[in-house]
Order: sequence, then C-alpha cells, then structure tokens
Amino acid sequence: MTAEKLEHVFEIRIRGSIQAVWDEITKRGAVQRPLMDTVLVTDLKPGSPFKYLSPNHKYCLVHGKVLEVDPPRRLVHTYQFTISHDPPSRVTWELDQIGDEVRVRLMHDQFETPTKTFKQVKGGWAGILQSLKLWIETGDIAFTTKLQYAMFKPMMPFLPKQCREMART
Amino acid sequence: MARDLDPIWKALADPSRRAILDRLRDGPRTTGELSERFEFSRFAVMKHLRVLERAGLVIVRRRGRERWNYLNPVPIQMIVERWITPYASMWARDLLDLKRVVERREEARKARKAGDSRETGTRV
Repeated sequence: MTAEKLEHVFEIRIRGSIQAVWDEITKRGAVQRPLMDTVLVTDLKPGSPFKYLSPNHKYCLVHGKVLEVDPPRRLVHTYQFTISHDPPSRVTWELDQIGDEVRVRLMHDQFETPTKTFKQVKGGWAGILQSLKLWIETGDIAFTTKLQYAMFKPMMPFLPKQCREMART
Repeated sequence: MARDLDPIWKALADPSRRAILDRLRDGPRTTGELSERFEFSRFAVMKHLRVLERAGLVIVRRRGRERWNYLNPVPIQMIVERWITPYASMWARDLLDLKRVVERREEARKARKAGDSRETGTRV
C-alpha cells in the first residue's frame, strides 16, 4: 500500500486563447468573477506577496507568496486561507494551448496533513474552473454561482480580524 | 457546452469505471494498485482508465515508472451545473428575494438606530 498522496489535480478545457485565460487568472485591481469575485493583489514577482481580497478590498481571504511566473503558461504561488491557521500549501496553474482549446491544469499540493484546507479546496477549485470556462466562453458565470457570492457577502463583516489586517498590509 | 458532456456520460455508464472513480475519491492511485484492488485484469483496468482519461474524469501523471491516476472532479461539477442549475434557479430566485427583504429591514433598523444615537448626542 502506497502512502496517501495529499494533492489535488484539476483539469478543464476552455475554448479560447491561452492569453485570454492567462489575463483572467492574473487580472489585478478588478474582481475576477470566476475566482469567487476576489481581487488579486500582487506584483507577480517571485517572492512577492500574493493575495485574494474581497471585492471591496477590505478583507483578505487568501494570502501567500509568488513562487514562479512564466506568462502565459505557468503561475505558482503559496496558498493559505487567511481565516484558518493551516500551514501554507502550493498552487500551480499550467496552461497549454491545444488547437482552439486551452487545457487548464491546476495542482494544489504540499499539504503535510489532511487539513481542513485540503478538504475544502477540492470542491472550491472544481467550481472555480467551471466558472472560468463559462466566463471565457460565454462572458458570464452561472446563476447559482452568483447566488453563492450573494450569500457570502453579508457574512464578510464576521470574518476574523486578521482578514482585515492582512488586507491593509 | 452540453456536447462537452457526451464522453463523460459514456464513461460513467459503465459500473466498473464508476468503481474505479470511487476508488480514486480518497486520493490518487497507481495503475498497479488499481489492478490489485479489482477482479478484472490489468489490461481491462488500463482500458477503463483510458476511457476515463479521454472523458477528462481521470488525470494521469507519470512519476518514474509509475502512472498515478487522479480523479478530476471538474466534469462531474459540470454535469451538476448542467442539470441542477435550471431547477435551482427557481428556488434561488425566491431566496434572493428573501435576502433583499431581510437586508432592507436590517438597513432600516440601522438607520433608525443611527437616528436615535444622534438625538441622544444632541441632548448631552
């Protein structure tokens, strides 16, 4: 019996150009609709902070550091839910143009134990990739996804104070 | 997008392939490990894995001589989205209406409270 591998791999094919997908996942200063309506704050230089903030920039939801940037193919960064105290894990985006489709592969690994983060991100990324496909192909996301965002919004003020602090620094 | 789902339905139609997916739910497995767990031959397992890979339900990554098979939950999510969304939207709209009513009431309550504190402020 081989030891359990604590890593997730996700894949989706999106009709469109690799540049369009890259531009969306590295979009800064405005919300990324597919990525839970978050605002990415980073200068995309290895070693720099990498944060996903709430749409109003008041709360930091995910924070980490940039590890690798190779546009428009590869983006690697560490990942920590600001709300939790789980140690950082690693996210790798790999984009490949195959004909008129982009193969998006997302790996989330470097978990030492099956933390809450490990369990939570599984459904999360599946939904995000599906939304990314809809967004690039149709210019909109699903109604249920919008509903999910709407439900989360009134809960934001109840996020722990480190989410506010991390958004400021 | 509906046509994207055809290979997924085909792959899911086979009970052995669904059993393989169930096995991968807890984490990735090597092809060798999978053939040990199932009654059918290594050749049959590999054939099923190829169908699953083509449908995007399984992602294969090679590490040295081992083939690691990962469950990709994204296509299943797409099926859920395709079939649930039209029904979910019906009650979802009702829920959104409810949310609006509650928020409006909450705002009205806050506005009243703010008004009250201003009044007490002038009195002091």
